[in-house]
Amino acid sequence: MSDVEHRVRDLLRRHAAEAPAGATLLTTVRTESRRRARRTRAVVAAAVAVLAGIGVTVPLRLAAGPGTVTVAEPSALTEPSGPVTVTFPLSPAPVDGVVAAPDVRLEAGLPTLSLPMPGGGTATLTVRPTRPAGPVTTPVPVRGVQGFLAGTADAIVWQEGPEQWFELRADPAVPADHLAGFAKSLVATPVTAPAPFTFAVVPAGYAVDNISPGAVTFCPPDLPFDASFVGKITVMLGVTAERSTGRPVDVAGHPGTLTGPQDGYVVLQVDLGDGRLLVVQSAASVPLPEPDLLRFAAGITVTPAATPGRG
Amino acid sequence: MRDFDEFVTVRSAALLRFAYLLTGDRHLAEDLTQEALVRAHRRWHAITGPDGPEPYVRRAILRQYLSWRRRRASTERPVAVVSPVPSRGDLDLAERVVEADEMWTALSALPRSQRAVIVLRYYEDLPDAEIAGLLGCAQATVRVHAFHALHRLRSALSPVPLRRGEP
Repeated sequence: MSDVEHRVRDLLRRHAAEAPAGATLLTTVRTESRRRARRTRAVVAAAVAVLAGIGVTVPLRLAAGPGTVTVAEPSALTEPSGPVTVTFPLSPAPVDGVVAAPDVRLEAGLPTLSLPMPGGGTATLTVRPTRPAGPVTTPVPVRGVQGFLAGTADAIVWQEGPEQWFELRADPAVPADHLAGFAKSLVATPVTAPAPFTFAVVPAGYAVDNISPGAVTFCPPDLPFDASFVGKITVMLGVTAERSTGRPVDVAGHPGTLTGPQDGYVVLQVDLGDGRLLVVQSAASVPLPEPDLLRFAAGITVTPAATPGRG
Repeated sequence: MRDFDEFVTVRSAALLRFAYLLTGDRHLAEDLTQEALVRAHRRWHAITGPDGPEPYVRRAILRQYLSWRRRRASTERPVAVVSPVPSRGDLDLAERVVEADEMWTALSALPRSQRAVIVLRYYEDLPDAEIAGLLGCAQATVRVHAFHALHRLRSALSPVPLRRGEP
């Protein structure tokens, strides 16, 4: 063992004595555990009441009875901190009392809004906490502030808050004053996209970096956000015609097939029984153990906002 | 659940030391330990294993530590640059204290996976194979984490100071 290693060992032993005593730990743990048990019962009761009232969605749940689950390790799954949705801070102004339905997504971790432009083409607006990378050139007035031409002069960027930079471009490209005019028509009313899926549990430590009506991606902690599915866990909605052969598994009473690892991925397909297929693709580089993969899939509810797509 | 109470009473100090060395933060160490114990309490009778419940709780603490990014990111205070600090065998007591402080600071600046490897290897005395199992990575990755961590810690102990009176 080297000198540095000896010093590290001594350092850790010395600092271990500074750890808190935890005199009230047992009491705190028992209180918190009881509170969560009560909350779980209340949530389940409320969910049952709602489902009984509307009887619409098709939630998948593992039907594990007492004593049927042996937990040898802590799960790689955790409760989500909130719904997996995306909100964009601006929305189109109503025209004759009607608001056009924007397409709001999360792309590479950034909320994005797409809208048809008057006269044709599609405008895409992205919000981020810092100024978009790349040079900015000519000043352009936008929504009462000084914006700039960016990229190859096919986009405008402007700031509306301390951590709120917008970038607007159109496809096909239009002149900057057209973009600025379009930006002016937006109002500061947040718009939230309906969640395509809800999750009872999510992979611990992963962050959602893409949400679209057809797919949600969970990005591992050591991977930068991007718009791809590479190296991530992706939840998608497909159609049963796309179902591939594999090892049969049961997911909360629904027939599923498990394939891989193949081409760097393990793929779980769950037949929802209505022509749709729930697909969970887990990168082999960040494997979710099979029991957790099945439990993760069993906790997914496909909402009416989900549409079949391909990744 | 009398055995749960007994487990917490007997083992909480060791668990808190483990969590504190991972985080370097007393409050966060308590949070992580409490959360791990709450989860263990809720499934106590289902936790099995030849070594009892402690491996489960330690893994839970470790997983939370490695995945706290989203919850704690706004409160983290990473150290961007590790200050070089004087060091050599004949330092006096005051210098050794300063050196230890700087090394502790350097430890806190390590990426979490590297720090976890250091704590598991040099405090828990676990072999690399077991650390790899806990972190869900290859043994080679553990060795790489340890190499980079030790390199950074070694950097915190250099350059060699020129003591007064030396050429």
